[in-house]
Amino acid sequence: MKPFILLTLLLCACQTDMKFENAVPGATLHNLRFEVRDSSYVAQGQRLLAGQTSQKISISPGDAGASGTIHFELEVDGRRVALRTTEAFVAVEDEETTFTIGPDTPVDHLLVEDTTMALWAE
Amino acid sequence: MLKRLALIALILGCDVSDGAPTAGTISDPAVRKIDTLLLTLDLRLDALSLAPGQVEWVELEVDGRPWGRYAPDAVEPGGEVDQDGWRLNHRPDPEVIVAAAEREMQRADAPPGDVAGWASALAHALDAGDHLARLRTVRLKRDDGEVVELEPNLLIPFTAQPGASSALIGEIELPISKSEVTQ
Repeated sequence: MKPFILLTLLLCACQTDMKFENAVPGATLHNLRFEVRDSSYVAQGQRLLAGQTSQKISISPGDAGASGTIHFELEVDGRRVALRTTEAFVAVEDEETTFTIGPDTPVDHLLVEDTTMALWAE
Repeated sequence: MLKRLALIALILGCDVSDGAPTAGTISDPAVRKIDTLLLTLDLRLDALSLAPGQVEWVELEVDGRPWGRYAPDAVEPGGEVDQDGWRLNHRPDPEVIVAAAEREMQRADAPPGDVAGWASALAHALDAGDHLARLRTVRLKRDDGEVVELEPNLLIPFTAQPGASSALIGEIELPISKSEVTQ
């Protein structure tokens, strides 16, 4: 029995989790997902009001500690735009990490990146 | 320029969806507010009026927040009188400016790089009621390429009507002096 309990405790201690937090005043974030390697971790509920934090999401051991990006839709005054973070986010292995999207979070728009110079040129 | 406008229209084009994430932009008509401002601009030089086609863009603020930079609607260049390289008319022939979010020029020149920038770009929506616009800058371009930037900083109160999606800022007559537009 003791080895079983120890093994259970060990497994619990090795869990890697993440949460999303919306720290953008006056904005709602929709469809948040953390994309890392070939995996995609989606926030339950799909929508975070300013100041809200999502429920905990478990990260598989293979993706723990790996760099990924966050995709989401930003809504202000009823308008939305799909964005992606340009800096890496990492779910720290064996810990619970909160990914905070704030006003200063660097992002790009997929359409902008895909069309770059040719369309911006005069 | 057309490509740029097409891209901005794509980015801010309105569609409704509540499904999976998309690469485009979605707007919900149920919560849509006033997002288009209209104005006409008659630049008066002495007793004459600047002919259309010479205003490159105007920059607006609304209620102290940037509203963006907008080009007038394209027109056939005209002008009855030539004075220091500027085409002038005896009768007023104002430029028509439609300051709609999807027409904003600044976003294409320098797309926002952070969440705050995008949030500001999306916040082109006004509630019904009284507002205060500021005509910050008017950029003129002569046919020979000479560029002049005026900074009238003109304050224009206007009222947005309930249920409307656009509001008329006004028919603005702006006197300019010869020294402002000649180098």
